Amino acid sequence: MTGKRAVGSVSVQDLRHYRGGREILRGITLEIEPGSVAAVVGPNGAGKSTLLKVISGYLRPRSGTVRVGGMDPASLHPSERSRLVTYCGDEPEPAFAFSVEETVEMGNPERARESGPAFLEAALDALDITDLRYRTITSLSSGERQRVFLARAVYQDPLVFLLDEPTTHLDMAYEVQVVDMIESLAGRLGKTVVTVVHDLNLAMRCAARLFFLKDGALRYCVTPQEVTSEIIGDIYGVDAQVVEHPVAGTPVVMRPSGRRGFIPGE
Amino acid sequence: MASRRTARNGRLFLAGLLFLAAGLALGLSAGSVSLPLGYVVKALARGPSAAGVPTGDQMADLAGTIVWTLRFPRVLLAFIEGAGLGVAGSVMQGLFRNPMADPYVLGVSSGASLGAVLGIALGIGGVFGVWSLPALAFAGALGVAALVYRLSTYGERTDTWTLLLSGIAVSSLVSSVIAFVMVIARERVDEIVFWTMGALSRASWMSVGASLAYTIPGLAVLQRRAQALNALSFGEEPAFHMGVPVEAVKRTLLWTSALVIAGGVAFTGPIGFVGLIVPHAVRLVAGPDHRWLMPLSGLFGGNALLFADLAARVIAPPREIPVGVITALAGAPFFLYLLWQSRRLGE
Repeated sequence: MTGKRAVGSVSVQDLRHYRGGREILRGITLEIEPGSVAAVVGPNGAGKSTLLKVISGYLRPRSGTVRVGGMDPASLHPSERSRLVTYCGDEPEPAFAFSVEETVEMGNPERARESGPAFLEAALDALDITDLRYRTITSLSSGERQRVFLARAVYQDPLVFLLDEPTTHLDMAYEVQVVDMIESLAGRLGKTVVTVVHDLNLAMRCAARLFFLKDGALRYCVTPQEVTSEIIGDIYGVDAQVVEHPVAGTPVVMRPSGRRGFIPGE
Repeated sequence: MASRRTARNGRLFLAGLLFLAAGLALGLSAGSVSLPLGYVVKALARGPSAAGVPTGDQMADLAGTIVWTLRFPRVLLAFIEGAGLGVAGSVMQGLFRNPMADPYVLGVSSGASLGAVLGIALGIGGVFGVWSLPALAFAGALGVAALVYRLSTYGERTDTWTLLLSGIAVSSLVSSVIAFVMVIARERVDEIVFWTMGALSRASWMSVGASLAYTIPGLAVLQRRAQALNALSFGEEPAFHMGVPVEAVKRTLLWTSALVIAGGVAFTGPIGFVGLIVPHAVRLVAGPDHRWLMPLSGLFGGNALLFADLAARVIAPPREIPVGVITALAGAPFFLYLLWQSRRLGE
């Protein structure tokens, strides 16, 4: 058990990445326990997606090292890498009318060829898209499509999931369902999940650790209980309150009542 | 769903084979001299070695000669090249995630034309005998494809958009060079124009053999990448995360398609629209899965060129219309119809 769990760790040392002459990641170092959920949070342009893409092996860092399960994903054979780690984020508009089922099966062609429909049905069920199974992907709404791509990642079944804003297009009910799914990926299946989330409350609900990024640097690495209004003020420059959830007793971030934005002509 | 699609696409494949049989029968019997089907069958049955041997029946002798030396290689070349164009078209459309892409995006057709046109204009069309023009066209096709590929590759990565744009730029550059050559070599303009319009009248057993040598292994290599192409059609980054060796697959698809197309175009000149429309139409019926789309586009692409060539021969006998004119004449309105249809259905 420990052997299997150890392979899902994520470790990043002094990671630097540049794009167009700008330093996007400024020496990030972090460790994520195998079988845990970690949330990467921070303002727009902090480098959160870039961090995930560098961990996935898609972007090469200028310097520093990435280890997923002790290996560098970028140096693995693509099919080995796809069993170790996957990244799931916003995708371009689909060009062709594949069915939902075909799309999900593309996550793991080998499994689609060789095993029965049980795993496919479980993946469809996990994202509640069984009804959409035979619909074409081009006919779906962005929220439905997002769930299809998440189901494809579940069907791919790697040890480490890198989820880039997995709930952006979802309504409140599906937001909760996806958070539950993330928890059970880690809790029941021992997968490691690193997710970028904008909603701090969702992040605090599902993650054991929150990594606060700002301007390409890791500023805080805390548990949900350690999140304070000072941290939020430092990262986002807003005056938010951290209170206790009336039912669950967990910390909840209240949005600032805030300044109004400037409206031209006002 | 999967099995329903399999059954339907299986039927579509059978229908394609029936079309092919009809196309072969018509293609062998129709033309400036119309041969009754019975004579065609008899000539085929007697084999190529008996084609020149007198039988006493004048019609049978004529049929033997026409079938074996003229029409049979011609219909085969039409089918082989059409199949190559259909498959390469479906590959390019998948790779560029764009149903408007065609097999010539790499500049293969303008490159082939440049090679042939230079050969004709400089009068070196006979240095290596009948192989000269095809060899020059083939070299031109691959040369231009290599230039376009080189222009859009930095380090290990080939950028698909740069490829599309440099393909367009290099093709129009090459076209203007061809126009320039035509102005200089006025006395050979007819020959040049005829070549660049595309025709199957130069078909021979030699050209059938040579294009088969490229097409069969080429199509086998492409078909093995069908699953990866499915993933790539979602975008290169999603495909990367699904475990597709993106750059290697792209390189294989681009170069194999270029070889298959160059092998055909070198003998016939550029033939437009087949590689654009056939995959598009097949996708509407058979769905986007490249494991089916590629072989079906091959079958129907071959049939399309076979029937287009048939039309080219029988519309205005004894004159022959360049088959490229036919494919454009029939293809452009059909393409507009498909476009209109998809707009009307709200995509």
